[in-house]
Amino acid sequence: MKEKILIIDNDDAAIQTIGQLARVFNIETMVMHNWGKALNLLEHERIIAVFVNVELEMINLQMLIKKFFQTEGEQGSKIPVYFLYSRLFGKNYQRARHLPHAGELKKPIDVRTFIDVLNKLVKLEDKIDYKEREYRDKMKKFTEYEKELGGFLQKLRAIME
Amino acid sequence: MIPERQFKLPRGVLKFIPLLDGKLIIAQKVEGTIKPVEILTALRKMGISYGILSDSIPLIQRDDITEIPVACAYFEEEPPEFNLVVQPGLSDKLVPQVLQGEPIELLKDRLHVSPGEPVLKARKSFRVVLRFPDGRIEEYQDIHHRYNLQVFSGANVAIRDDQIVAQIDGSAFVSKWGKVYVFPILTVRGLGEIHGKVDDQFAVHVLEDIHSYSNLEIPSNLFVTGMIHSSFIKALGYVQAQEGIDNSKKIENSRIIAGKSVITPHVKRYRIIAGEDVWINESIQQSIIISHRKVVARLIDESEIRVRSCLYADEVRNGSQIYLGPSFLRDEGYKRRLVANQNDERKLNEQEYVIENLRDKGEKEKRTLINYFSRLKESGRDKIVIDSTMERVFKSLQETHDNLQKQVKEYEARLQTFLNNKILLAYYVRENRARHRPFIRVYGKIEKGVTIVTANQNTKLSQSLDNVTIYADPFTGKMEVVNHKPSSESVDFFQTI
Repeated sequence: MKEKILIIDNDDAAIQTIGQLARVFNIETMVMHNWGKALNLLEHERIIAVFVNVELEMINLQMLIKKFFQTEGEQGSKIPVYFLYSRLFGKNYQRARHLPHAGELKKPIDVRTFIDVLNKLVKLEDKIDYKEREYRDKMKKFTEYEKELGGFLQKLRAIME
Repeated sequence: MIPERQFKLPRGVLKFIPLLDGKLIIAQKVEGTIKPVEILTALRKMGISYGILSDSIPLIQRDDITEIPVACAYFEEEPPEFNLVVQPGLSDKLVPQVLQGEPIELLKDRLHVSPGEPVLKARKSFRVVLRFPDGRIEEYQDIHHRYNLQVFSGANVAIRDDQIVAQIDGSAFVSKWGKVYVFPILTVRGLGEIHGKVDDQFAVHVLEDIHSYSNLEIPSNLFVTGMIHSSFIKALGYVQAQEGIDNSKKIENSRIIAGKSVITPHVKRYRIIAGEDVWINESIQQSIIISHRKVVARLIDESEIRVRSCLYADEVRNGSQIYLGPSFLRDEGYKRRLVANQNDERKLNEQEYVIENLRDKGEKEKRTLINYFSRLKESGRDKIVIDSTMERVFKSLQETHDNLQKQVKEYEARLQTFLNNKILLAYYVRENRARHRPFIRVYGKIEKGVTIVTANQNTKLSQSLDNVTIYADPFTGKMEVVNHKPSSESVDFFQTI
């Protein structure tokens, strides 16, 4: 399963900027325009970071932070939450900045800053496109599964005899 | 690493910013509006032509987006770098001699190999490289264990360590895909219509002439001590006619298609297509020459020349047309292989779905069987019903496994074919990569009335030019004329270029 970034925002420019940059390094993005019932969708996803627009009125930021700071990511660490904002002196941002979070990005998103953030999350050099390796990895997985299934069948056969 | 660079465009200012040591290139809209095509042109001007992210480029047109990624490095598997042990010796050093009318010796002996004799030697093995957007490469790891040099063996050759050696006594050549072929040499006195279509697996040496209406198709080299008259000739290797190529009978079907170079003193009323060079030490008259690399000709008269890389001539006469640059040449063989490779990739992706579905089915059946077993363990009741159901699921799982095994084997074979083809394509691309901008170098006179066409300019010379080089700009497709000193002063042909 590919690693994913969760973007909670309704600003298409931010979504596109983050999405395009993530895609370059084979990281998928998942977009939510608000925060609520779709929570269960995230259960089986490999989320590596959350970017949330703190200026969205419909978001319960405290709950969101609680959710991700309680969820353990890949290496047992908590999933970092980054704040997106456009107005430095905005009420929502000023309130949000006191909550625990991994970092802040001002909109329009500065690509260099975002790349730095992404590089901290995953080693970007390892994420550079390498088609042949992808195919070989798939092949390896298929062969392993086929062998595993063969082994299972053999065991079953022995039991049934 | 490429430095940051700013471009002033008709309606805006664009800046390219390299990040991650040049692995990622960002386009920044500094002011105004920018069209995607302007980004592409600016990228080419900056020398960035690899890993272009065409999906994200149109986003720059939006008012609310100012920065987008435009190019990113990628890993690719590179074919070995070879040293040609057997080669025809058609190097640039020969150009001055050919332009002075000196004949080129028969290549037959140079291309002759004995059993066990190496034809190619790998200087560097298969490896993974990181290709930067500006074309630079960074070598990562040796992957010789993943490929076999056999990929480059064509016919009658064997692999010995890092060499490709001939298995038989014959004439050798290396195809545009890097494959080595050796075929025995068939020596005949002459060839004519009476022989019908000759398409044997030989290299052919014709001691006299190839007469009109001959039809010859061979997978190797052709050496003719005499002349080629009005015939259709297709050879995958070199074609050399020591006394000339002439379509005196004006037969429309007369043409020479060579996978490698064509070498002869003169060509008259012929159509020649060469995978590499065309070397003519006397004249080209009323002919059409298509060369995928370079043309060297002492005199060009009333002919059409289409050449990818460069044209060296001593004199170009009125009525000639020169099409310069890769845009005037199509390599159907490359296109076919590329399409075949894309089809293979599509089939691989389709097969992945099939395998994944089988895996899901297998998992489901496996779970069902495990559940049955645990239920069987818990209660001894309804044993027969459970057994027969289990039998059915077990058989189904066996079928799934057999099917999966078959699909995985097929996938493995298809993947290997796909990767091998990709390596051959990479070899072709590497060998055909432009190392300089296309040019026409005329040491003598290029007459008034000669038409020169580049990608973006069509010019009929209004006055004669002497001792000039005409360059085609690879980015704009426009011409640039450089006048040289009189040829008597510029003794060295190559220092001036």
